[in-house]
Amino acid sequence: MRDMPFVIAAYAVFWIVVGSYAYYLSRRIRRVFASLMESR
Amino acid sequence: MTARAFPQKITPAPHAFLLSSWHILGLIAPVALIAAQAFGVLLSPPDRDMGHLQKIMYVHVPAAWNAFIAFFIVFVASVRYLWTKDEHHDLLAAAAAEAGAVLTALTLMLGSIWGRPTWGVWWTWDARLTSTAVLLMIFASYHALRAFTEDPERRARWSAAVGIFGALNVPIVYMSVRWWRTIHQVQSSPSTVDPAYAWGLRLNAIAVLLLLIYFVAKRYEIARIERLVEVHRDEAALRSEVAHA
Repeated sequence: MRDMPFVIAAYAVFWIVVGSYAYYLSRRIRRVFASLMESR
Repeated sequence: MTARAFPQKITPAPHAFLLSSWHILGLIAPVALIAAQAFGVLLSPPDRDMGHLQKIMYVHVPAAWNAFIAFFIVFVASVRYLWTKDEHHDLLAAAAAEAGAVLTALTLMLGSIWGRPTWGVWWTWDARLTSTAVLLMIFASYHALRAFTEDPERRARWSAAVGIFGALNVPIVYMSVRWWRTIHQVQSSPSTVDPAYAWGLRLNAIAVLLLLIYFVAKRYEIARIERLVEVHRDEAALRSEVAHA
């Protein structure tokens, strides 16, 4: 059980990285659509 | 060749397609991940040697495998770009390279968290760890190259060369645990792990694969639209030049 903090840390890191990248893509796709509308 | 003459096949992203397919995959992938991780964490027994640390395998190994799949996509798309000069292949390669780099960075971070209680160190210059770090550096330089090269054709050609070179490093990373004396264990797969862990590993690998497809598809759409904006701006600049001439 003394190793559980490492297991919890690993899953936390996984979701933080995956969630951050998903959020970054969502922001970027919104920004790029706005640029497309502007450029037309 | 100029930027204006280059991307004739770029078309606007189909919004309806994005809103249906990729948004659905964006919902399915996290649900599949939660279910697969719950299956692995809650139903598999602690390992005789590693105890509960074994559960890190369900995120570390699928991240590594899917990074390799992403770099395989980079390889195929880069070769196809060099062969056909169709810019869509270059944009797909760039999308897969970014998702692959994220998964490689994640693999290193998760391996480090596993290594501290197992090996007693966060990092060591082991052949597997070092070759994975080199792979990440190659794809970091791939993105730096794309960011600093303005001419689209040169950007695509050079990126394809770096992408192929980077992807050729993948077999070295994979085989490093057999070719060199390392402290990293041999490749984990359903055939090398205990049967009690095989299904957990398979399900998590599939869930991360769904996530990879979602990331690559979304990033590819972003790349396509960015390229289209670039084309519109070039055309507007050309029209302005003609009007002033």
